[in-house]
Amino acid sequence: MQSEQVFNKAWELLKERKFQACEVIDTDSRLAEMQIDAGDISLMRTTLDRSVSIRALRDHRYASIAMNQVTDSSIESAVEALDVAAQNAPVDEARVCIGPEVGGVDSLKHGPQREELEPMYHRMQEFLTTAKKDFPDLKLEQSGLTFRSRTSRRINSSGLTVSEQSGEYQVMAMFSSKRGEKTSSFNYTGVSLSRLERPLIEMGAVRRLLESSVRELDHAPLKGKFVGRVIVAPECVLPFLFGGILGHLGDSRVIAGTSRLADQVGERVLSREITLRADVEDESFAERELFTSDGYRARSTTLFENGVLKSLLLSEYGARKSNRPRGFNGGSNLVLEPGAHSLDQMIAQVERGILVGRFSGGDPAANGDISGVAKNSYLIENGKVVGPISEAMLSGNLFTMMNSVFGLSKEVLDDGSSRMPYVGVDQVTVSGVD
Amino acid sequence: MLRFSDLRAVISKPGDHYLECRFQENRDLRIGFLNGQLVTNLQSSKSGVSARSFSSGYWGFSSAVAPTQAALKEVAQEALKNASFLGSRGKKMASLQKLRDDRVSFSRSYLSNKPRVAVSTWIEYLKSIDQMIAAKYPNLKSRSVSLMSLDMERVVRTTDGVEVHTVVPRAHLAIALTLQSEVGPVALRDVRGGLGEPQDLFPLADSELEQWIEKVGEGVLRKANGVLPKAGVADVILAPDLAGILAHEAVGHTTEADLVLGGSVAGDLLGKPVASPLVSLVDYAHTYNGEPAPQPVHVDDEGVLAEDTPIIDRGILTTFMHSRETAAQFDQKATGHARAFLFSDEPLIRMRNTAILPGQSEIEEMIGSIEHGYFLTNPGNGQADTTGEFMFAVGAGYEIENGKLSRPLRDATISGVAFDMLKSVTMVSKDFAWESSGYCGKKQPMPVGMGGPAIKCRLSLGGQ
Repeated sequence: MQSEQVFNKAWELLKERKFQACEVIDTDSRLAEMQIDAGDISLMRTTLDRSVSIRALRDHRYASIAMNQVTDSSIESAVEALDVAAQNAPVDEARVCIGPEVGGVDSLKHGPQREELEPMYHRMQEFLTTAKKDFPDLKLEQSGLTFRSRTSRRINSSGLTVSEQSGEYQVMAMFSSKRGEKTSSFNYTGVSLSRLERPLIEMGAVRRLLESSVRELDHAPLKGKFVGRVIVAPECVLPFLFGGILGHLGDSRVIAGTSRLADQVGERVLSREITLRADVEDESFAERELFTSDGYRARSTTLFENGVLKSLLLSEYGARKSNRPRGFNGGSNLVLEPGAHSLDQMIAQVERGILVGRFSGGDPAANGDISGVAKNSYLIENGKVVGPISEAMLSGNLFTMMNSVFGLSKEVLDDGSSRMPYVGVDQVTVSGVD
Repeated sequence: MLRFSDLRAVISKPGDHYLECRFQENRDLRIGFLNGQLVTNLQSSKSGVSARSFSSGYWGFSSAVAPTQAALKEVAQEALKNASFLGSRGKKMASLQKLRDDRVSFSRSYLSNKPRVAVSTWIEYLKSIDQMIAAKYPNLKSRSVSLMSLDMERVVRTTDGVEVHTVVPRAHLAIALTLQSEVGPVALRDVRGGLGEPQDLFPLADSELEQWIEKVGEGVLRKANGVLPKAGVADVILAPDLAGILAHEAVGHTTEADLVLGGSVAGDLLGKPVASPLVSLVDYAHTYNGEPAPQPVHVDDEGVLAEDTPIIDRGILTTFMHSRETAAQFDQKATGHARAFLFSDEPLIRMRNTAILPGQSEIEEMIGSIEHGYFLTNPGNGQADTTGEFMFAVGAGYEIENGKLSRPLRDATISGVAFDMLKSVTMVSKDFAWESSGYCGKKQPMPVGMGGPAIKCRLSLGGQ
C-alpha cells in the first residue's frame, strides 16, 4: 500500500468520526551493516523496515499511533484506537493543527540511496588490518560500518506533502586495550560519511582515540580532591556540556515550567566565548536534519551568540502552548565556533586539572547539577599532561561551568553531523581516591 | 502473526548450515500526564520476520516487515547470502556449541488471565493519581504520572529442531515530582511494577497508592532541603533497589563473554576471589524463590534451554555469560543468554535477571555500624567499563552520622572499581527487591531484571 493510499484511507475513516485534521508519516528504511566482534568481521546484516505514524485532531483533542504493519485492517484498527484516544485526551487550546497550517509540496534529497557492499567490505578489512598493525594491544568490540537510508513521505489534511530521501554511512568503533593484566577503559567513536573515499581509521577522531586507548593502559587512580579546570575533548562536548543545557530550550521543560532559559532569550546566559549554531542547511554534513518534526523545511539558526541566548527549540505545539516563537530546527548539526588557541596553549593555562575524554554520569538534575566519572582522561599539572587517570569523579553545575569558559581550541572535530572544538571550563570539583 | 507451522515450512529439516528463523512482535503502550494534562497517549506495535545463518564461521542476518511465509523464505535466503558473502572473502575458525537438548518445543505465555482494560480506563486512573498528588502537594513545580507497558512475543525455529513461542509482558507506573528549592529545581522519580500486563499489577490498593504518593512527595520535600554528599570515598549502605543495578552494571557486564573477548578485566579472574565471601551473584533464567523473575527466559533466541548462571559463588568468579559461539570458544556451558530486542535485531549476549543473593543482616544494624557515611537509594542510569569501573546515578539518600540517618541528600553519583568494591562488602541484608522498569543498553536496548538486598560497602561519591 503506497503512502497516499494509507493517508486517503485513514483520512476517510477519521472524517467519518468527525476528526478535523490528520497527518500520516510513512517511512521505508533500509540498513546494511558489517559488524566486528572480538576483533574480526563477524556479521553481515541487511534489514528492511517500514513505520507509519498517524496523528489526528478532533475538537482540540490530540491522538497519535504508530505501527509497522500496513494493511486495510491495521489502518481500521489504528483509527479506532485514535478515536478512543481522542475521546480521552484533554481539550488543549494549543492543539489547533497538525504540522503547518498551510499546505504545499516540498521535497529534499541528501546522501547516497543505496549501499555499496564491496567498498564497505574493503574499508572494513583495511580498518581491521591497519588497527591490528598500528595498535597491537587494541581490542575492538562491537564495531562496524553501517549504511542507512530512508524514504519518508508526510501527508496531512492541510494539503501538505513533504518527501524526504536521505542516506549515509556510519562507522562506529568501540574498543579498549589490553596488555598482560592491564586493561584500559572502553571508549567509542562514530563518524557519519557520505562516501567511502578514505580509510575509516583516518576519519573523525578514530585514530586519535585508538592511540589514546593504548596510552591509557598506564592509567593510575587520581588521588585527592580539588576544584579546578577541565578541558573537555570535542567528542565529549555535546553529551557532557551541552546535552543538559539544550534540554532547557525544548518543549518538555518549557511547557513544564522547569526551564531555566525559557524567559532569557536576548540575555547573556553563557560565557561570551560561546557561539553555537544549528547549521542544518550545511550540505557538507553527511547527516542532516532536512525537515523539522512538524514538517517545516529546517533552517539554520544561531542558538547562542557570544553567550547570548538567541533562540529556543520549540515545536509548533510547544510554541503555541508557551506563547513563544517556534524553532526553525530541532537542534541538530550543531557547530560551536572554535577559539584562537591551540589545545597545547589551553593545557598550558591549567595549573591542576583534567583533560576529559568521555563522561559517564547520571542525567543532569533539573537545576543543572551534574556528577559522574571522567573516563579516558588525563591529569594536567603545571601546564603539562602528566598521564592517564582512573577513578576520577567530576561534579559541578552545567550553568556555572558554561559561564566559566576559559578557552576554546582552534582544533575542531567534524564527525559528519556536528563540529566541536576542545572547551576549557572552570569551577569543576574533581575527586579521586583517598 | 506466524506460527510453528509457518516456520516449519521454511526450516523443514536440518540443513548444511545453521539457520534460525524468528517472528517477533513488540507491543508498546505509554500514557503520561504532565501537570494534569495528558501529554502522551501512544500505542505502537513493531513486528516482522528475521533469519540468521551461520556459515564458515560467519553470521548473516536479514529481516523484513511482512509477517508471511514468503517474506520469511526471502529473509532466510538473504541471511544465507550475507553469511556466504563474508565466508567467501575471509577465513574464520568459529563454531557453535552443540545443544544439550535439541528436542525442545516450548510455549509459554505470561499474558494476563484477567480481561484487558481499555486505554480510557487507564487514562482515568492516571488522572485520579495526578489529582491526588496535586491535592496533597499543591506547591510542586511539576508532576508527572505515567504508565508504560511492553509485550514481547516471539516464535523461533532453528535447524536444530528447536521451537519456541513465548509472550512476556511487563508494566510499570512512574511518578516524578519536581519542587523549586533554594538551589533550583529538585526532582524525584519512583517506579512500581514488573512482570505482567497492566491489569495484573494495577490499580494499586488505595492505601498502597496513598503511601506511595507520600513516599515520593515527602522524598522530594526532603531533597529540596538536602545537601550534596562530600566528594570522595565513603562507607555506604546501598538499599536493595541499588544493589540490583550494582549487580548488573558493576559485575554483570564485565562477565558477558563478548565484553570479556573485548578486554574486560574479568577475563583474567575466572576461578579467583573477586568479592567478599558474603557475596554470591546469579543471573536467574526465569524463576527466583519459586516465583517468576521479572524477565523470564525459558529458551533463548538460539534455542538454548535457559538455566541459572551462577556468576559469583561466595566471592569466587565462576563463569561468564555466553552465546553458543562464545561458549564453544571458552569451552563453558551456554545457559541461554542470546536475546534480540526487535524482529530486526540479531541476538546478542544479554543478562536476564541478575541478582546479589540476600544475607543475614538487618538494615538497621547495618546503618548502626557506620560512623560517617551514607544510605543511598533510588537508582538512576548507570554504566559499566572493561576496567571494572562502574558508575550510577542515585536519586535519594541520607548522610549517616554516628550510626543514625542524618541530613537528606540531593542527587549524587557513585562509582568504584567493581571487584574492589565487592571485596569491601562487610554486611548483606536479609531483604530482597527486584527492579525491572529500565532498559539495558548495548547495541540494542533490552528489558532486564535487577535485584538484591541492602549491602554495606565502600565506594566513591561525586559531590562537593
